[in-house]
Amino acid sequence: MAETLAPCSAFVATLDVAVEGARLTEAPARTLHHVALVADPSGLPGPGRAAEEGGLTFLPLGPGQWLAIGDGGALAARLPSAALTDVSDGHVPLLLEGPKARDVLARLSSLDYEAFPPGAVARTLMMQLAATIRRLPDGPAGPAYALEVARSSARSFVHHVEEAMRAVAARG
Amino acid sequence: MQIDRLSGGGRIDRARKLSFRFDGRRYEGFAGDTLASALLANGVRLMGRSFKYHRPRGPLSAGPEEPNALVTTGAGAAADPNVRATVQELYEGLEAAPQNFVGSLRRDWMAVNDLLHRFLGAGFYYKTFMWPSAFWERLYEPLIRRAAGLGALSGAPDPAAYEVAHAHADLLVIGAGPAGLMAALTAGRAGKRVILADEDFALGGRLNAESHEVGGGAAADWADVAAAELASLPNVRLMPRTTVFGVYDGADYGALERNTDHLANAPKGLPRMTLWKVHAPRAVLAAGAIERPIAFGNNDRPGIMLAGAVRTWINRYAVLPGRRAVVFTACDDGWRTARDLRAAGAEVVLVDARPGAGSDEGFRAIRGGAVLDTGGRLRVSHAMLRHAGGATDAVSADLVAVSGGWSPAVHLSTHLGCRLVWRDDIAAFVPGDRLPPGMQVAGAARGVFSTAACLRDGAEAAARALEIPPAAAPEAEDGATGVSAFWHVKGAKRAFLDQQNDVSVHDLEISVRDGFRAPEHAKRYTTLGMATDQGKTANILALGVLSELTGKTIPELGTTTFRPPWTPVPIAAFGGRHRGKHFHPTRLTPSHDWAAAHGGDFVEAGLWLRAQWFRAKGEAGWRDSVDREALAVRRSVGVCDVSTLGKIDVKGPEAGAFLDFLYRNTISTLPVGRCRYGLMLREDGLVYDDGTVARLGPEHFLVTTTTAKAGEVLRHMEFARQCLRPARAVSLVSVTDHWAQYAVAGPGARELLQGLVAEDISDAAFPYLACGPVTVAGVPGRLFRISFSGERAYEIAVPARYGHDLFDRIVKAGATPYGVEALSVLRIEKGHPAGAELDGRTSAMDLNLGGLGAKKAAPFIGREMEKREGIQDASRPRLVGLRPVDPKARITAGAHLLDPGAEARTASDRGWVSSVAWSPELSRYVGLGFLVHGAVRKGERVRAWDGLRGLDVEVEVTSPHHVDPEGSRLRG
Repeated sequence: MAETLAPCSAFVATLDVAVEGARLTEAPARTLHHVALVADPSGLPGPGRAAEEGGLTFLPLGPGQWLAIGDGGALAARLPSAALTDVSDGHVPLLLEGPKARDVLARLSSLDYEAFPPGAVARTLMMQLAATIRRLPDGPAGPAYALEVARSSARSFVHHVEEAMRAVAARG
Repeated sequence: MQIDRLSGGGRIDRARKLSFRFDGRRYEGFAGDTLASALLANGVRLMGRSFKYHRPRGPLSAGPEEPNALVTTGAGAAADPNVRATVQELYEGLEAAPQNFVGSLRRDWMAVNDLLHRFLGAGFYYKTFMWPSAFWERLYEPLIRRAAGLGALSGAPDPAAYEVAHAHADLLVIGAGPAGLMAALTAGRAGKRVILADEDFALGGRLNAESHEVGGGAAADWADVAAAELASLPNVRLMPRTTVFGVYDGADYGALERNTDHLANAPKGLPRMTLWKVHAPRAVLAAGAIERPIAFGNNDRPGIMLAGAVRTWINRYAVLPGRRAVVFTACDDGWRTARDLRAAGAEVVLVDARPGAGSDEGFRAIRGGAVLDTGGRLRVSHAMLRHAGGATDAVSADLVAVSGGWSPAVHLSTHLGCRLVWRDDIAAFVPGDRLPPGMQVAGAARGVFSTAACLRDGAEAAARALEIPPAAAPEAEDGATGVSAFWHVKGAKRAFLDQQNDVSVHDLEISVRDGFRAPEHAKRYTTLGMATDQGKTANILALGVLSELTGKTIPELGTTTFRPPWTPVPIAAFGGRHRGKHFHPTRLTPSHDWAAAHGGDFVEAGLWLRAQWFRAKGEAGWRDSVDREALAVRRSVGVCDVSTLGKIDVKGPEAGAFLDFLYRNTISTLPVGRCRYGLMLREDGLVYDDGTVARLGPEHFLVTTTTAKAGEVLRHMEFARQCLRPARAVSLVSVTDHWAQYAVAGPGARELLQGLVAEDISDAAFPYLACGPVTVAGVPGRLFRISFSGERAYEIAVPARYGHDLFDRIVKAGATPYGVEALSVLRIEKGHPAGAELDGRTSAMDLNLGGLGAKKAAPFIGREMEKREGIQDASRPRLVGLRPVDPKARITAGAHLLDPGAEARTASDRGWVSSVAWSPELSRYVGLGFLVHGAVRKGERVRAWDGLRGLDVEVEVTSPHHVDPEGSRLRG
């Protein structure tokens, strides 16, 4: 048997774009599952808010549906009867952070990011593409947002984020 | 020389001189000027030529309502036509050119039109160019288009960038005049999120243009202080240079921000404009009012301006637009202009149409009089006055200031259907009571005209909107504004109503005489109120004249409809970043980079880019590549990226039953580890989509869809899950992007894959239509034994991150990469229906798939509607194979099928050719098509008639399976 298949990024080069006030990077690989058919959803977050529990992060997507970040075994143990689908490679994790990150996001989607505190989650359309966005706790660089975007269109998505970042930076 | 610049005053920065060019000549102005104010300061009055008669024109207004002073800024591809000189901010190096003339601006050869004006009135071209009718398109229209018009587009792609952005506020304040500033202060001080937008670059509105006081100091100083306070509040966003142009459902407002049109050197990366979608549950419309002129003889000469604009030139820009002024008014506002003109050093004659107006203020005032006519070629030189008694005399004048009263800028209030209400006391329309939800109107926009009242009204509007206390308004001028309805001077000739479209009182008379009496009809007949200014200074005036001509009152006549946008918005701004190759997002397959590096030629398939073939060395054309690839699959082994096919994970205890409801055939009986072809119908019983269903576990199915329908089918399935079968415990998840999936097809496919896969995939262990988890070079993957080509074939899947490496390894193990074109050749040879056959008009029976699920008892979508007579009709065209009798002949997709000897007409049509390919396997063209009674016509001959390409070819009707009709190859 030949050696193990080599993984490959969705991008040509390592993604790390920075302008004055905002920075976009590809976040480290993580395991991501779609969660549905949960017999007892108590303990899982309701609309709009993320919840963390035993190394797993749950992001509500819609009625009875979540994305879960974290180990698949732990997830299966936590929700033994649920329908779990591995979608780790269907999405690319991105991190957008900086004092002007909000202005960048205002150019990508219609959400009200001033009413989007740390822990908030939304599934939204960004430049014609579906994305899941979660606000992380503020870092030293200001507000930080974790995004999950479709892998096949990730380069188009990043193109638009970069254009928005340049436009925001050019405003000074 | 800024010969008409006053030595002091104004809101300009005299320390910052700016040089610019207009019509090839160099001038100087100051920061804070507009192009129009700077040109006026330099003594320039002539700024353009009119639309039809090519009459000399200068600015009528000092704002966004400007009909005349339209110029082209920039050059080459960046040239921007129809820029209003009255709003274009001056910057160092600005280049502007006048429009619509032949020869020079001062001597325009097309001005001959003006001499012919008797023949060129409203509707002239409808009547004059009647025949011969063929001449209209070829001669008359091109001539008219060349003779008349505004600025011209460059014809080159716009090099500027545009963006769309979103903003949210508790209160959007539209307009930063006295009412808007007070509304913003009221809400801002209360801690509300406020957006204050104004199309001007300076906040303050009329406060910057008047000489009176607010709060004990200059009005403009008070505006500066208010703007500074608002700027200091973190909850307030000031948006100068931003035009709110439309009101939309859901409390959404469209606003256009101009980022770079005022900059000599724009920062790199800054879009020229930002189109803001502002969501604001509450809004205050404080858009002010537009002054209207009076129609008198030759009232369009350069140097004839609105009286309020004259005050703007004097007070805001320190420009004296004339030294010998006639002020013609029908309201008290004209008297203000007369005072400011006199204070600035001009001689003034005031003509008030109202007999008893005003008191003696030390300038000559003619009450009950009128301006009858004017003279002068490129600038007004004198005015012919008519006194109350009827006597006339000529007065030398280099400026005529006109005021017929003010019309509230109600436009945005009507965008969601609010009807306007006519008020006789101000002779104007004001907003009615069915305003857009959440909107308040304040100040002059609702007919409140004194400065003090506007300040109070703005504060109260914001207070009402947000249920907070109003901010205290400062002291200000609180005079009443008397006005009498006065539209035009009787007996005047060449009295223009709409200067942008050269429509005169006489044209409206023609319109009414010809039967176009309603405002909407008169607008279309005369073009009054059209083009870039949409009749902002003309509409009410025209209604007044129309009222006199028809004997109906203005409220009886009603207005034309105001639609967004309030002022022109480039289409490019709506497009934002979505242009060129970013018009839509692009989806890339996991093997994209590999394909790009190995001769892959890409084709768009929906949003996807797919390799259509891989060009090898020495191949001259695409057919060489495609033939080679298809033959490789038939003779040895090939690999094709099929990751674009929609993949939907279906899980849950009732997943099987749910899929039975979705597919025509039964799915729930599929054993774990097996695949099945599935056919989905629409509600109307016609075929929706097809694909394979694999059962990966007792409660786990994987559905594949066609590439084109992936999104639609998931939506269709979600609708069924959520609305039609809400009780079913089933979960649907798209996993299209998660998996890299490759078809490995050909006699050598098994052997090749066995080298990559850990498990035994011998025919005994992994027969045709088997599926299951496998380990692919150490990575958990999946294998499906399904075939689109008719050869022994597999689809192998690994998580997308490994896709690039897996494709490389499969090729290195000996597979020929093939693209979608060879894929298509192979499936046509094999007779598999695809997009051209599943075109939304075909039934399962048409596709010879009537047997699928024929004995099924469970209900499924489309079952009842499929029983309709028309779908069951045995004479419907059926899927057949077609090949030319002459093996060298070519047939084409789209050809009609005709019986031998039949005439090529609709009545003889017997079907159509849906797909055609050159078969390298059979060395001839083969096709698929739909033929009436096709099931029983095998072996017969018909004709493929293609009128578009001039082909009429005898073809033989065959089985759709051109290659391996027994299916022995795919089982190995």
